[in-house]
Amino acid sequence: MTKDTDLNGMPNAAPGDAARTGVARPGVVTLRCPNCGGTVTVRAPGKSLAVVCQSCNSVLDLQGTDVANIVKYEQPRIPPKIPIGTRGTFRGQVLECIGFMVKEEEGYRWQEYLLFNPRIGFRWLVYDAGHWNFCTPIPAAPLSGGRAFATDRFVFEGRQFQRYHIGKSSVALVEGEFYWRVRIGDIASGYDFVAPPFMLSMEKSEDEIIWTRLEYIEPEEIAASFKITTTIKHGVAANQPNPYAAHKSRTLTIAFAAIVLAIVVQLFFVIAYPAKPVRSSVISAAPTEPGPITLGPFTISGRTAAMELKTYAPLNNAWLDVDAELLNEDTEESYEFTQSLEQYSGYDSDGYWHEGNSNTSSLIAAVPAGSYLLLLQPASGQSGSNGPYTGPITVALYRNAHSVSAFLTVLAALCIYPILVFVRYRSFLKKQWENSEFTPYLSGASDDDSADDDSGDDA
Amino acid sequence: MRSLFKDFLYGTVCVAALGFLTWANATGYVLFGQATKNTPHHSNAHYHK
Repeated sequence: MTKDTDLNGMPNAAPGDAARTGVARPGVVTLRCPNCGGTVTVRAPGKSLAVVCQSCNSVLDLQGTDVANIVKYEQPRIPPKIPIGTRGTFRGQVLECIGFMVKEEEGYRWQEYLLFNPRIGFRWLVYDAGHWNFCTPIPAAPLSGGRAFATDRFVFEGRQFQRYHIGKSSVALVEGEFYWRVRIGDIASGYDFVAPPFMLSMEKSEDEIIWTRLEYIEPEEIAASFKITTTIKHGVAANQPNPYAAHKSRTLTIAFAAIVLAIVVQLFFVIAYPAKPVRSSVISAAPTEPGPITLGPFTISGRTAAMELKTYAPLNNAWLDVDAELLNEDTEESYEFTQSLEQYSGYDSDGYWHEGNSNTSSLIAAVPAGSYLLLLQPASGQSGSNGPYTGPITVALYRNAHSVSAFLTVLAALCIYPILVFVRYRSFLKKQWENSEFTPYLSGASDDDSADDDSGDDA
Repeated sequence: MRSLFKDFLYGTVCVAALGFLTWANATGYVLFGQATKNTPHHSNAHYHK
């Protein structure tokens, strides 16, 4: 277990150390609590300025030569996730948990663990709703205190950080030792900026401003490092990496490539096989002979392809139906369809109105080569005060018609899955930002008012 | 790992969709085409002979 681990030069506290007072072993000091007489272990002597007696909860001042009793607190016992004195190897560094603190903001609580290694100094682990963050101090402040309040986003170490939260937190519970004279009720203003998996946090108290970089750590890594039970995550942490980000990128890349290929395929056929007129004619909407008007025979050659019949009639407040049949003389197979045209216009209280169209076209799928007849049977009737349409009808039959329906269907099919992936990715982001008063994912802006309220205190 | 498998499946769907588009263009297949194809028995060929 970590008790026997060499702490990079700092000797370990043996189980018997707690029973002794005074300097027990180099690097570890045990004291007698002036309040209750209990034994207090100081794991970072010379560094820690305050230690909490585990027996009576008195915070002892370690700054002078004599231990002074600062204040005694009545505070509930909350079992820390990482017990005081636990050592763990985290990313190659042996760290010992020497302090535990619960902080709160407007009734919401989270835990902070002070870790110590004599060679690298102090580090923090922040625990919040199953999520962990490893905190390292930033020597050079990314922003001044005033700018931190006013800045929405800034770039630090090549990453763009977005403002996430501004609030005031207070110390609710302390255990172990700390490098400042900690007091329950100490208040600090916090400014958080996120760029997952990192967060930059500025803590502003009465006498100092501290910038800290937090890195999101998966609970499994913390559990393995400190030999504790893996915590269960609740909700989404502010700087938790989006688990769908990589999937979204891959899916969008595949979708983009597939859509480009679909466009290339469609363009290839449109350019390589352009539409060619096969037969065009002007027929009368009121034929003198009964039965359909027959155009052809005409020969269709080449590959099996779609055909298109375009029809135009200069209608004026009239309708026209054309029953059409493309008949293969060789196989006697036929393709039947009906074209409907209507065009109406006039004036009413709103002025000129117009509806319908004098043009229409129909697609005929997969027509093989052969000799064909085109049979057309026009029909029209009374339309209001107007009689049936009896004018000319222009028809034109084209080979190599290109239907966009298959192309659009393929595009839609290619887009469905990426849209679902993107929605899931975005819903994670939305959830991640729902605790932020600066969320870009909600339209309600009333929370901005609370941020403005803080400005008077923090400026 | 699961997302990689999903991407593989999606890639397969993409290949199938592109294959369908190529086939539709090559054969003149029309989705939602307006014409009804009649067999010789149901066509009006006899009427025109």
